[in-house]
Amino acid sequence: MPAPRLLARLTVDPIDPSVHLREVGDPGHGAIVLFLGTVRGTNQGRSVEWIDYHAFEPMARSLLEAVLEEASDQFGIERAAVVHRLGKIGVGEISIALALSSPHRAEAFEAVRWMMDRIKRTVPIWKKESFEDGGSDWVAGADPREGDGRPPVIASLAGSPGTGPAEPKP
Amino acid sequence: MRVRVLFFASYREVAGRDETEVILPDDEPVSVAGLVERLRASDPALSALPSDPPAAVNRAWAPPGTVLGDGDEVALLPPVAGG
Repeated sequence: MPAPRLLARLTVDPIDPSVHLREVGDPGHGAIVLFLGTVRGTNQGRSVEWIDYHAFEPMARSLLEAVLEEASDQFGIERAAVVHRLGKIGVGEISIALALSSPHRAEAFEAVRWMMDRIKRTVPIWKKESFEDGGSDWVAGADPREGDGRPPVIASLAGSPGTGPAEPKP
Repeated sequence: MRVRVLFFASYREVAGRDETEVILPDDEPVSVAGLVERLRASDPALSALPSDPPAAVNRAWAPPGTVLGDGDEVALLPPVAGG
């Protein structure tokens, strides 16, 4: 079996999803799933003008790679690409694209949901919303040390050798 | 020994700086939690940091009890909100 092709990136440029669809295409696969996260124009009743995304870039990049590798192990995903945009992003623009291909659709859908949850809980990225009323606020985030009923994310990310992902394959 | 401390996002605004260097005693183990306690006691701006922030040591998430070594990079990372 060829080595998995897993691509993780951060960018300040606008995201073009078609690029990532081409990256994950594989003649042996019958399903591609693409998820796009976009900037929402309202939050808790306030009108949002833009979101400014910040990251601890080297760690964010390596944890995006870790999420792809874990998904490869758990779901057998061999082709996946994720790109997260940083900097100021306007309403309706894409902040994250995640594309993957798989022989069949069931594991592709399952993997995308799992990966997005994992990214939102573990990757050091933050966003500050700027509102039309002139204010701005950091969006409340998720503490990677809390497990939401599953084993804490940090246990697998802090990494003792030989232990697998925290969650068993469903 | 010396450790480099990095601040991000809301913690950077609270601290009023991107990073700082801290000199720790060589003769007693200091954990991430101990470092945060020292930081909070050292400076009025830093006293506004939470007492138990999420942290990474050398770019891996690290529990508060993680013992630090000379040259470590400790990043204090607010709860994350990517996507």
